[in-house]
Amino acid sequence: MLESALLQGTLELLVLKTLSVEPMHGWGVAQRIELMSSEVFQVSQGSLYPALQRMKRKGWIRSEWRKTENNRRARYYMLTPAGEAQLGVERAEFERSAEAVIRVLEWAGGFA
Amino acid sequence: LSLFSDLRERLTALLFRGREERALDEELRFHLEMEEEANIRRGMSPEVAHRQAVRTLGGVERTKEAVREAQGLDLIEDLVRDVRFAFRSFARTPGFTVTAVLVLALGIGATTSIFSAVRAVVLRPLPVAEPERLYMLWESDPEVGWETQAASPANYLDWKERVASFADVEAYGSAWQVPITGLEQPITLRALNVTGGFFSMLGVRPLLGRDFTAEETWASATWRAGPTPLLLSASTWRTVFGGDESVIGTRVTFNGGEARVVGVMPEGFAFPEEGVQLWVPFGWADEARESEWFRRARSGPSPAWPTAPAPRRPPRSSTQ
Repeated sequence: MLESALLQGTLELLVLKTLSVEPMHGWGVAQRIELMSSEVFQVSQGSLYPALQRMKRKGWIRSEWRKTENNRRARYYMLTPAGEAQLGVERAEFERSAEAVIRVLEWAGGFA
Repeated sequence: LSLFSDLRERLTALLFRGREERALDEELRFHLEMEEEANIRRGMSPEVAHRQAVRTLGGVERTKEAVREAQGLDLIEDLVRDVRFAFRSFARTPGFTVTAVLVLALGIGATTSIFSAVRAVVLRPLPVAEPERLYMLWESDPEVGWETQAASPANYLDWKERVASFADVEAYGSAWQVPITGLEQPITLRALNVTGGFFSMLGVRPLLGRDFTAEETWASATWRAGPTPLLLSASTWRTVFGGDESVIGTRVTFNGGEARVVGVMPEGFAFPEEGVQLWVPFGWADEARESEWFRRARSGPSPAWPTAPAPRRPPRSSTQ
């Protein structure tokens, strides 16, 4: 899942959304996305970590090492102000596309 | 911001290569362990949980490769490799290297000096319409030993009216500092006196407003008739007068007398040098034509100059 070019942007959107709730390590991000999407999306580490790195380069997220609840060291990612703005942009863009796709799918022939 | 964070991320990744690699290792190990623990919680034996986790996660090396690619390291590494290779090649073939550097240096040098010359001669000629027809006229006095001497106003007028070889003769004075008030702040500007037909002889038209008229050489048409007309340089217009077209008609006090802006000269027009900020007609007193001072050439500042506000210096004259 999420390997195709079409869904690349969607993965970034979902990661931004997840990190907007609270700072989280990579595994936690993957878990949240799987859980919240009722396991429709399986986020592989092969696409997650490169995506996190890309988003870091774009200045949308930053990272720091923190302790987990179980006292383990993990790299946590968090949104920057630029990332928060980007979340708004990408969300609006996605909703627009999704609505458009649905309108096309629901078209029953003829023109309103 | 994004460009900056991009560069910073790439540089950190490059400079702290080992540290970044170890961090990524630790991050992926953590990921694997968390996956294993989740599997154990689902009821698998530790061994099965480990195998299952490894299988779900896929190749660790492939992930690392993809992260490195996302860090943008390939590009920089390639560049560094290319530069190293170039330097090694130079070192191997010093003769070729010296030749190449010399050819480049000469090429760049020649181009630069040719451009400088072309710029001075072709691109920035005298700011007039037909510079090749323009001559400078001087007075000389062998008895006193004066060679290129500023002409007296009377002689200038004789040349203008009686010498048929010249289509026109016009004159300008030396630049002087003039106090100007009536603007937001009092200011001193560098002004130059000219005869009324000066700019039309040069073939230069104002960018805004009007040129001086031939009559405005005389006081009867300038400071006695009303406000003295002023022509501003484009940069004075922009910096002192706000650069608005409504500047035409602006009244100021010029050296204690009433004056009015009648025009703005084109961008880049400078005469006789860059520092002149505005131009004003001489405004010679009409009845002065017969007086002694009007007929005498001067080599320096003259205390006997009349009280008219404009004429401070005897004119030099230029012609075409």
